[in-house]
Amino acid sequence: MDKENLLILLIEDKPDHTELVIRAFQDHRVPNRIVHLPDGGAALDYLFRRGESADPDTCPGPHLILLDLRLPKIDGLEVLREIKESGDLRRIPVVVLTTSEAQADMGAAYSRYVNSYLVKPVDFDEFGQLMNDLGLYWLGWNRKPGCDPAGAGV
Amino acid sequence: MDSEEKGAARPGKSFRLAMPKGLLGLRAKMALGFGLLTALVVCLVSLATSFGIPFTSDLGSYGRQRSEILGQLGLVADLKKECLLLWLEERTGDAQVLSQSEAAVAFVKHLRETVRADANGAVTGDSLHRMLLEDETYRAVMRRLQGIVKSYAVYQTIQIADAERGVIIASTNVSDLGTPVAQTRPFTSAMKLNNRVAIDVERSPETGIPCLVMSRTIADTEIQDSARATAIGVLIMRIDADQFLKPLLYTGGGLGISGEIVLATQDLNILISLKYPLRDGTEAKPPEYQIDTELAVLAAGGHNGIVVSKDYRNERVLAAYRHIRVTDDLGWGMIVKIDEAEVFGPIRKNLRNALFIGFVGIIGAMILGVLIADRISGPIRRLSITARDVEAGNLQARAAVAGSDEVGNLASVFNSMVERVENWHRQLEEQVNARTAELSELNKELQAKNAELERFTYTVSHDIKSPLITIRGFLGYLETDMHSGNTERMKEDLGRISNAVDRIRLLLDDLLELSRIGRIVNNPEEVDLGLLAHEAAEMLAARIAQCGARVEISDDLPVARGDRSRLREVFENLLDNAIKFGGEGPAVKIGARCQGDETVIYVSDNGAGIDARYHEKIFGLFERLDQETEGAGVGLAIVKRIIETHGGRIWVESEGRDKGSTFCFTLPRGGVPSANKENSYGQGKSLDPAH
Repeated sequence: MDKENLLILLIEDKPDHTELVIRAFQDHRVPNRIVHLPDGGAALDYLFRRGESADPDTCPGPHLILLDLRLPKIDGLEVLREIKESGDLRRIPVVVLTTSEAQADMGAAYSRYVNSYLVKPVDFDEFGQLMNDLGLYWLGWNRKPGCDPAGAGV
Repeated sequence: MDSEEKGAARPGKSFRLAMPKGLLGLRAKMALGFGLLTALVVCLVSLATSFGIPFTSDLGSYGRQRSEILGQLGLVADLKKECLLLWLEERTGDAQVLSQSEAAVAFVKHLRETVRADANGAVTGDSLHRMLLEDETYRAVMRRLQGIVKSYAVYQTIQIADAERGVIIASTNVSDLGTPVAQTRPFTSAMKLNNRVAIDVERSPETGIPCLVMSRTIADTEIQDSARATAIGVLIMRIDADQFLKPLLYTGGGLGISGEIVLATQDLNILISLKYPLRDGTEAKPPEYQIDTELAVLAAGGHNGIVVSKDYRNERVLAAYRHIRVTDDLGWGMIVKIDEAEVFGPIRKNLRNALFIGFVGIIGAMILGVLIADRISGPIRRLSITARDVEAGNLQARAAVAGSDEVGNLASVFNSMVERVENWHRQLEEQVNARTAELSELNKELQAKNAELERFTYTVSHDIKSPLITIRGFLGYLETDMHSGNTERMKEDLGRISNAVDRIRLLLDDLLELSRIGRIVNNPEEVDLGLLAHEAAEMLAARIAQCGARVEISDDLPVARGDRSRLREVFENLLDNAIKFGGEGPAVKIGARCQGDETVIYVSDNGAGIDARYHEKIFGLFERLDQETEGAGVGLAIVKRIIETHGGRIWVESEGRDKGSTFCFTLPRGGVPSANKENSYGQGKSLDPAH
């Protein structure tokens, strides 16, 4: 598996949580590159390669998007909607990673074709376990379109 | 409720059906009653005047007129009978005198010889006359006869016939001379009666007109023993019946237009021509026509009397009939009659007029009845129409009050009743509307509170959970770092934990503050907003100085009525916000402007401005546009709550990025409406987290 090539886009407004996610991935040695964006506007600029993020070399397309819902400026659900309405971006799996357990948020997210909805556990071990499983599943077991299965192991 | 309405409508329906029927009946009854009453009175009066009152001596105009006319007819008949008898007596006298005169006797004696000798029956008429003119006696007799005709002017012809041969030997009409008359009625009658005057009626052979014929034998004065033997001649005198009898019987209009006197012989032959044609339209010719009426038969048969009967035209007539004994063996019948139609004409006309008046009266009375009924039932009907109107739901309908009679009173009582019902209805409606408005207002408020509560619980679960995750997460790392001795990272992690704890504390403080707004009641007072703004600026003086901000407060801020400390909080929060987001060298301006009929107070800054998308969002609970800035996102929510509990509005204006933003709010001039204040403060308790 060419794990170096895999890119996670982490959209999270809380620095502490960002730190926790990154540390969890590192602890469980999920091989990846993480790009962190603090709000919805920056995320959309990155994904649609607008403004400072126009260069594809410095801003490569992600293989997985981790999205918080309560975001300043542009709400997470709005970011999700724009991704899933875009012909190119909708193929990227989007996993909502939030503290909200509200049914309204879950329903809204699935209505906007979210690929997975995960609630951040308060427990430290559970948090680490979730991050590990997440990386394993989406970056390991999960097959991505346009990737040659034979080439996956190279 | 629904079934009650139906139940109430049912009697109304039956009332609606029954009412007009009864009213029409009243009208019809009135009209009919008045009409019949008038008709009855008119008919009774006219009948009584015409035909008399039963069981009394009053005969009525009919009876009176009949008896009067019949009496008159009787008088006329008696009078005319006398006249006629007198006249006939005179004529009979004439005949007697002439037939007994010596000259006549001598003439007959002499001349019958001469005529017999000379003419022997061969010569007649004029030639005989000329022949006889030579005779002295003939001339003398002729002079005598012509003298009588001329002087009396009654007799048409006077003839003398030879009794033995039956031939006329002298006549005032010379053409008659020599005519045989032996077989004629006057001649035979005279011969039969012998010395008495026979009276007969016949049609004149020459003129064709009816004549009264008087004949008497001329006797030989020398031989007087045997009547038969001594009759030597016959005197025949003719009188034009119409010419002499008619004037005699003329009444001078006393019998009216249709009045007539009919004279008939014993054999019912009429003596004079009739006034009217017969039943079949032909003229009756006297004397051949035999009148066959009951009256004629009675009169000619020797009876006298008065009667109502039918005449020869079959017309009903009032008549008096008299028998006239002309001679011992000859009687005539006289009828004096007048048409019943003429007699009763005026009465009938009167009756007809009376009936006509009665008829007109009926119609008039019916109209009067309808009008009176209308006057009585009209208001009732209109009242019932109005009642129906009211029943159908038109409570503005009022009955017209006509006059101050019973119906008028009923109408005005009805009106005041409907007025009361309308008032009740209006009051009820107003109450219902007010309650509904209150309820919908409360409902809206409740919904808003509900939404806020939902947002609150969501926020609590999300915003408090967030720092909890941080704390647990970094506590976990602290543990591992403790084992591995990574003290560098431990310090950093502790800082993160501390921050998260602070955040939770801040959050709880803000929540407490927010719940307080609705609960703590300070008495509303007149507040100088300019003074409040200055106080707020003083409170924040340290921060203002720290940022090097410029705060400008204009002196046109109005005075408002409200909670002083809360309103100062508004200025503090807005000022704090403006400084916080004012960027480098913030310039804040607090002022007021007039917009429509309300005063808008604004706090403007020269900061980054706010995108139009967030103009609503920023006032929401725990909304932060920027994670870096401090605060839990409660400030603007608090401001909004304070303004709204004071009955005002708050909004933000920003022309875009780097154009600054202006927070505007209004306060009602009258200050806090007491009801609203109570409600808001009361409802505010639901936001208390401890609740």
